[in-house]
Amino acid sequence: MATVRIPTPLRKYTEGKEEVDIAGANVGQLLDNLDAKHGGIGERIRDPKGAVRRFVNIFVGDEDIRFLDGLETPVKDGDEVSIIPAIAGGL
Amino acid sequence: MTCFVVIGAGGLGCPALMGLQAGGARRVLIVDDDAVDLSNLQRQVLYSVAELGASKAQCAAWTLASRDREVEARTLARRLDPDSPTLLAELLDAAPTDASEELVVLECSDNPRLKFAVHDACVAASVPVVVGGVVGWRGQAMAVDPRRPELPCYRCLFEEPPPRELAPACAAVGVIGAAAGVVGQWMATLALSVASSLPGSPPDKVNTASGGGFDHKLTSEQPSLSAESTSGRESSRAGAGMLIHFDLLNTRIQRLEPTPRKGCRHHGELC
Repeated sequence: MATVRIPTPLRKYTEGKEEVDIAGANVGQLLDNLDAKHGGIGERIRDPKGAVRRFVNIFVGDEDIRFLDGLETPVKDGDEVSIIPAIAGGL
Repeated sequence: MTCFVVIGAGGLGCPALMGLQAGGARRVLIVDDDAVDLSNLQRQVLYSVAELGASKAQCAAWTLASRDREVEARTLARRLDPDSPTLLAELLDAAPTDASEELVVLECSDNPRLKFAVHDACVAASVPVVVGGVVGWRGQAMAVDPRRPELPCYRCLFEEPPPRELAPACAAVGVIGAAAGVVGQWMATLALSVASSLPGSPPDKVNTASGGGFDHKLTSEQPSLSAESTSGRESSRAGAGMLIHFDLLNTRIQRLEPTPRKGCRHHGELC
C-alpha cells in the first residue's frame, strides 16, 4: 500500500481524510483504485481521456511523475504519493 | 535599485508588501482597483476601519509611507486583463522608469488566468516574477527567474490555469488570514532573494531588526534561501525555480524542485 496525500478540495471524497492508503503497482492503477474506493475523486484528477489534468501534479516521494514514467511510474509499499493542484486564490 | 511590482493588494499582497518593506525594499508599485471592504480587514492588514471604501492601492501606499519615509510607493488603480497582449507594458508604463532599475513582479491576485498571464508576460520580457496562491489553510509560492533558463518556470509545473469550477476561490471556500500572511510574507522573501541576485542591483538595504534602520546591505553574510539550503542542488537557485506548498492546518511544507519540462511553452525548446 502507498499513502496518498489528498489536497483539501478533494477531501470531501475521502470523508475528510488527508491521507488514504491505496494499493497499486503504478500511479495509474493507484488512481484507479483511489477512484474505486472514493467515487468521484478520479475525474477531478484525470480528464476524460485518462490523462492527469494540466493543472495537477502528482509526485511519488519528491519526484514529479512527468519526469519519471507518468502514469506508469511504479509505486512501492510505503511510498508517499502527493496530489498537488495549482492554488490560485489570493483575495 | 529594484522596483517591486505587487499585483493585488489583498490577502497576499498586504503581507507581501509588509515583508518587502521589512526587507528593505525602497520602491514598490501597487496594482489594485478595489476598495477596502469591512470583510477584508481580518487578513488585509494594511487597512483599517477608517479606510472603508477607499482605494486599496492608495491606502496601502499611505501605510507603507507612514512606516518609512524612504519608501517610494506608486499606485496603479487598474484591473488587469489577462487577455491583454500589453499586460506587462501597462505595468512598465506605471513603474518608475529609471534606466538602472530592475523589476521584480509579485502576482498576488485571486484570478487564476491572470496569474498565468502575468507569469507568461514576465518570462517573455525576462522579468523575475513570484507567483503565489492561497485558499483555506493551504498555499503555494514559486519564484521564476527567466534570466536563468536552466531553472523551471511556473508553466513547467502547471501547464494551464485550473478552471473556475475546479479551483474554488477564497470568496467561496474561505481563507485563513494567518495562512495568507505566511504565504504573502514568503512571496516577499522569495522576491527579495531573487532581487539580491540581479546584476548590479540591490541589494537594496535590509532592514535589520537590531538597528531599526536601513543600514545593512544584503550580502553573502545575510541569511538567504541559498545559504540556508542543505543540499547542493538548490544552493544556486536563490529561491527561484522551486515551489513551496504549505498545508498549514497540518504543518506540512513541501518543497518541489522540478526541472524544466519538455513541451513547456517557455522551456520546450531548451529541453
